[in-house]
Amino acid sequence: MKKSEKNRIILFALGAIIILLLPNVLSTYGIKLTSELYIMSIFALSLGLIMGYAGLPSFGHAAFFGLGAYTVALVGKFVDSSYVLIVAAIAIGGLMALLTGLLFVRNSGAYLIMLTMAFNQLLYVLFYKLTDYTGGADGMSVSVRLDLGFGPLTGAKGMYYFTAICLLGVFALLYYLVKSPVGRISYGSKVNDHRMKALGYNTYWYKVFMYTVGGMLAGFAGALYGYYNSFVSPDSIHWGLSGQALIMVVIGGSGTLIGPPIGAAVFVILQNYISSYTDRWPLIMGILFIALVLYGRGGIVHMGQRLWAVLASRLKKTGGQSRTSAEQEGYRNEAP
Amino acid sequence: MKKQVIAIILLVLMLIVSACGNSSGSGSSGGSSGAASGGKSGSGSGANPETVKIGVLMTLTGPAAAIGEGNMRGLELFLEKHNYQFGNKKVELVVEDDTNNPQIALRKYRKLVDSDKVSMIVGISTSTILYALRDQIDSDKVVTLISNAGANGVSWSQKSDYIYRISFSNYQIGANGAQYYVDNLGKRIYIVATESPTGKEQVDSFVDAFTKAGGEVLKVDWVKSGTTDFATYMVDISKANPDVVYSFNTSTEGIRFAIQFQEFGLKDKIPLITQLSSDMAVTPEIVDAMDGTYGAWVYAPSLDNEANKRFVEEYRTKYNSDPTGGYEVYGYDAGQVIKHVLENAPSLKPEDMVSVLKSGFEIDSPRGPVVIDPVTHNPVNNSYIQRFVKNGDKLDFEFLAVLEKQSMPAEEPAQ
Amino acid sequence: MEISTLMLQILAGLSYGMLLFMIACGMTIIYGLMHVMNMAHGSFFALGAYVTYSMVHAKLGFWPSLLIAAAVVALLGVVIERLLLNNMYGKMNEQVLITFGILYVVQDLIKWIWGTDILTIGVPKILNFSIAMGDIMFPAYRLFVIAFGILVAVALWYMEAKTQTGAIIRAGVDDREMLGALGVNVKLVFACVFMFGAALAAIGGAMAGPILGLYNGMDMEILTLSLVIVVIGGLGTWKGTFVSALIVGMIETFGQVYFPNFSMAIVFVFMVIVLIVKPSGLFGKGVTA
Repeated sequence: MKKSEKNRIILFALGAIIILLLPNVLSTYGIKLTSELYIMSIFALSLGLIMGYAGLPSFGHAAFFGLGAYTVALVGKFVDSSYVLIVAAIAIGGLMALLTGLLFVRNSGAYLIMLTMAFNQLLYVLFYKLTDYTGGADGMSVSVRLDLGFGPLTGAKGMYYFTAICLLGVFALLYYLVKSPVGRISYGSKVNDHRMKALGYNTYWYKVFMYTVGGMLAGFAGALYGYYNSFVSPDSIHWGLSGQALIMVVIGGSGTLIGPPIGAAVFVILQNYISSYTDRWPLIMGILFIALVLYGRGGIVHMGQRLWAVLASRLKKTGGQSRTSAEQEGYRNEAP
Repeated sequence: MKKQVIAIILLVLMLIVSACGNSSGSGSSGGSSGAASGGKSGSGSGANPETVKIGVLMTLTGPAAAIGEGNMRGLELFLEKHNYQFGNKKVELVVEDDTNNPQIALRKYRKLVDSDKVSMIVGISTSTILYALRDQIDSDKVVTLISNAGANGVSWSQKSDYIYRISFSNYQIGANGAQYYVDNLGKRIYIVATESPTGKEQVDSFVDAFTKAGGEVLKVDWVKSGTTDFATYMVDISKANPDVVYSFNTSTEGIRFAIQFQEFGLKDKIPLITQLSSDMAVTPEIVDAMDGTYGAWVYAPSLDNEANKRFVEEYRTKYNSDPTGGYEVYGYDAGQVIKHVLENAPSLKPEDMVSVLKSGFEIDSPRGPVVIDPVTHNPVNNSYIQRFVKNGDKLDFEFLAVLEKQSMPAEEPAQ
Repeated sequence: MEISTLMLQILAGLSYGMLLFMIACGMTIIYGLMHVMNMAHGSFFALGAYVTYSMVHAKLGFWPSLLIAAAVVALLGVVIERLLLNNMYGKMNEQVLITFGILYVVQDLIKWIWGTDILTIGVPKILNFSIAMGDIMFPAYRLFVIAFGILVAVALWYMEAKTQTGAIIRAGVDDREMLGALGVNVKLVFACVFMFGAALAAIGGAMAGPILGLYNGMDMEILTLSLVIVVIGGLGTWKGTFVSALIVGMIETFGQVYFPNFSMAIVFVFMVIVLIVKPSGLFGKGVTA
């Protein structure tokens, strides 16, 4: 539908403008926090991609994120160029995802979860133990600074704009990927794998492809995180972080593109903000998470959609009613 | 399409909420200990009191909580004594807990510096955290007074104009007592240490000092942080049959090591040196295990000097118990340093505060006189060799020796 | 290495392995019958330890404390199974997510109730002595753990092979739908099995208390280990878990001495290889994923 396409682009532009104007109303602290939010949004999006659009629930996605971050830290000792380092992080994340994807993607459900988690922990143990190279449990500083060719980006605002542009770029990229034939086939395979195979598609390769893209994006987010934090520790490659990303995707709403960033926002805000008032923020997060999964109707985005549908149907009475309830039907079938 | 609208509105709302919250946000307190600020108008000139915000970044929960908690008690004791006011400057503490996690420490650091806009940071409980923050502190030019972490780097190759220390360095802790141990406990030593920057630095300096004193290091076992089962190490120690064992393990591992050392029957045969402090003896098993073990500290509550007598008295009045070890004193002394800086610095600009910190002034610490060395930014102080003795369900100190004016070399010794 | 030292290392490895077995076998039995990948299993373990600690501190003695802890956790297990997991059978992803959420929540609850300090539980008085073996003293408590583990294994074997309950469970593992068709109250069986698995994990936690101590994060650590053990041994077969738990215990213990940097990594690599070559585990039958 051309009209909705145009509307989406307008909305995207609107969102982009707001994002780019935000630094003017935020404090330095707020700017830094929001930069972190954008980075975690990219990470959450990468997991949301493979979970929501390829049906690959992974409990080990932090493996690629951590690899990206450590790449910047380690290779950054020898190479200064930010372009080289970021590309290296993406490449390594993608390569590792490709290799493990080839082996793991054939499995589903419990086995996939266990395999991804095991691989994640394997990397964690390696990075944790190789203290001489990685600083072990205490982590290592990232000595390189982000430099895109016009001087090092040291200020909070510089990092903000960079991460914001990265997020917008990733978002746009994923939008077209998901709409593309590859994306649609992967989604079809998530909804009903047998049907897609019956139609003649070799779903295995589509899943591997999506998994690799997910790994590349996670590596990208990890690299950004390395620059942002100037510090990397095994926490960035621990399966607990994979779990956090999972929480973000589910809370925000799996199977949508806006969902993961919203989930990331909720998580980062709770983590940074609420932690100053109460230590019990993981408890709040956990209960919210369980409630959402239990209720089974998706995350914040899905709830928002239903809310809107209800409002819209009240306004439009009969005409809109049938259309919106049919849309509701469609969403009910989408399990995380 | 309407769904996207809703979603984007939600996203924007969320960002706006965080924006409003952030731009109006001023000092908020850490979850577990809250902000401490003196409310009363205190001693000092009546001229318009200027509020100085000081950020406290310590480990207040978790296995290493004893460090931060001890520091805080000492610091608050001193500040309260002066009603949180020095001259016309009122001190307001903004306290954050890093739970000994470098990532969290970085996050809280950013909050203290960017959101609360503190003039100075006090604390830093472990070397891990120190190394994680050092570059940021130096590039942000934030005056930092370390009240515990002993990382040698900030006195040597990673010295910063803005980082000063009032506690001790790993070099001092490591090398202290080596001569005494060789002369009194035995020449052949077996070392078990927790893998960490602290462990490595302390063990290196100890081995250096011990061998120079005529001893022989049989073996150094490096243990991963979080190790729970020392069975295999006990077996090895038994085989090696050393004269003395030194456990460079801290908190959890240290306690477990001591307990298992006793379980495997080694405690009765071989003297054990540890780094445990008496406040860790929270259960009868631990008291039992620590009874009879040796240690070298820069402070003991039974020290006989004027400043200490006053300190112990004040501590008892406020907290109804006795100070247990170094942490409280480091916090107290940090308070003394803050007082000296606020009273003598021409302004709160980093350069002015730094010039005072570098001036080599002496403070009257309960551990004896202490001077911050202008070259290494590290305190020069005494060291006391002592031994734990079980007293009912508590542990007492038994003094064995005093070593005076222990400092650290101006540069890292050649390895 | 001398024989006596080797013997001691083996015993140390065995005692650790037995602890792991007790915890992991609950997980495998639950998965085998109910196809639930219980991410909260580590929480049962931790709660078992912490509740025992509190009871011991209330001067209740080690053994009563252990039983109370097991009962409390078993009750919690039933509640979780009935309220949260009940409608999720067949929906693997939802189960995993919910149990993961439970892990997250319980982890914070533990921090809230018991704080973040390291806590210890003393070895029960009757077992608080050491036996001389060669020129080393080996704690009797650890020998007890080995004995108890063997006892549990024997009990499980007996129940599975010789009792009707065991037969029902075996049937359920093979074909769940048939079970309902045969008139067995499937809901009851599920609840009981889940409760049993949780209780076993709690007992494991209580017994591990004197050896490992209680600390935040013990739930996640044991979860990772259990997962590895269960997968290597074979999902659904407690015999497989028995063998793989001992193997892992040995690798960890010996690894500490010989390859301190890589013992854990070796275990993980082993697991990945098993999953790729024989996904059903060393002893498992083909389980539909």
